[in-house]
Amino acid sequence: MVVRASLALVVVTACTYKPGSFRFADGHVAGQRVTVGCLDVSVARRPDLAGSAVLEYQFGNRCSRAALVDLATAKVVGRTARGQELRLAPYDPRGELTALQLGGRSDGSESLAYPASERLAQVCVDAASLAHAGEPRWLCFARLDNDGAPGATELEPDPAPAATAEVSL
Amino acid sequence: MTRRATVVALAAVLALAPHRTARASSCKGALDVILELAGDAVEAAGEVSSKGTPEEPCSETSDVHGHRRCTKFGSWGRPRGETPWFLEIGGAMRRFVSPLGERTGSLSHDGQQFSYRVVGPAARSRPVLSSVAVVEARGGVRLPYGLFVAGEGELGTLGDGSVSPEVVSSVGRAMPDVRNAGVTMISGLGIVGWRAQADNLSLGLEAAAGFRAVTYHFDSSLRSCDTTSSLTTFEPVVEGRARVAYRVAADIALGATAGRSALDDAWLAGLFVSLHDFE
Repeated sequence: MVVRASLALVVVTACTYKPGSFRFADGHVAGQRVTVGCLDVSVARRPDLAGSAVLEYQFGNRCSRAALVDLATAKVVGRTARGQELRLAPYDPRGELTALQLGGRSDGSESLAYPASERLAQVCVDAASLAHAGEPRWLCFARLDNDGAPGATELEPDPAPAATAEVSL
Repeated sequence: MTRRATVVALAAVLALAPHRTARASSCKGALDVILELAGDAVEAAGEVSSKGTPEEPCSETSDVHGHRRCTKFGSWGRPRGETPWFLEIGGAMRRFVSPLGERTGSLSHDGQQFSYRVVGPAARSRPVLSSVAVVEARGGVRLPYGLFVAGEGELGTLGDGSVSPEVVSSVGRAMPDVRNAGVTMISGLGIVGWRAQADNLSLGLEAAAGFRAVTYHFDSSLRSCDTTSSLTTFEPVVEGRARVAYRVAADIALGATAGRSALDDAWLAGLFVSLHDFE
């Protein structure tokens, strides 16, 4: 009886990603949202882990066909408290990161750590580079304390983006 | 038994779907319950059969790539350049002329040979269509421009394709009692098709060609000796089909198909569950 009811539900339920909804399988994360090509992308910065900045990516494919998601070569830049800009690469000890095809109307998520030689007051990611889309779409995030609140603004000499913001670099 | 087999088959196909342990589903519905149950059952069966006792479940201390242990990167996607394959199982009703004409078979009882004769539907002046319920499975590869190629196998039992055998030779007064014991069908088809996809819906047309083998089984009794005999016929199959499918989850679709033979009046109609049918 339970099996029969379950099969009946399968017929009427479509569990696919709804374009523009930003409702992902992992649930809602309060990240910055942007649409690049076929991808709805949400990015949030999490408290640092073992000296690395951590970005949580969620992405949904708006299109009915597969779309590229390239977390391996996405452009990520960090700024130290002294204003020094560093190009960041994700922590990938086993060399697993690669560009993948996300199926049509599918979604996914990944959290990546970006090691840096010193603590990063701000981390920016070009969301368009995830999809190899044209125009850069920079999303920037201030450092979070372990309780998830934005850390004290430590940027010198340009402390403007204390909160998260989309900027052009 | 048939219902149980259907549920097991469905669960097996659903279990083949990528197991997304790194996350929960956005629509916690029946599909996820089936996926989880099927996946757990397959994993449990594998663990028990390979090691005798279930393994300790992997526990995560972090979900950050490079720090997590249980889930590899990219459970949500597939590599570029990977062959875009798909699988499908389903059931269909076929109607076709049972291909058995007039044939003679032989059987043996205690070393004595007997012959029997059957006159099948194909030998009649106005052949009637027989019904057969089939289970079908197919696997294929998507090609550019919506094209695809696939191979398909079918297995079924004819519901009304029985023929009555008649013994035509005897040894003395000994005359075996030969009875119809059912008719089975198996077929193998190659398929070329094209499909258009919009949102969660796809429509397709395809041509299928191959063979169909229909085996007529007979039981024979003579005193205390029982034996069996069978006659098998082969015939070509060429048919055109139309299909519609609806994506119910990222990798799973439900669909229906209907087709008609290019060689005779045969036709089919069926339902299927597919895995990776959509791009």
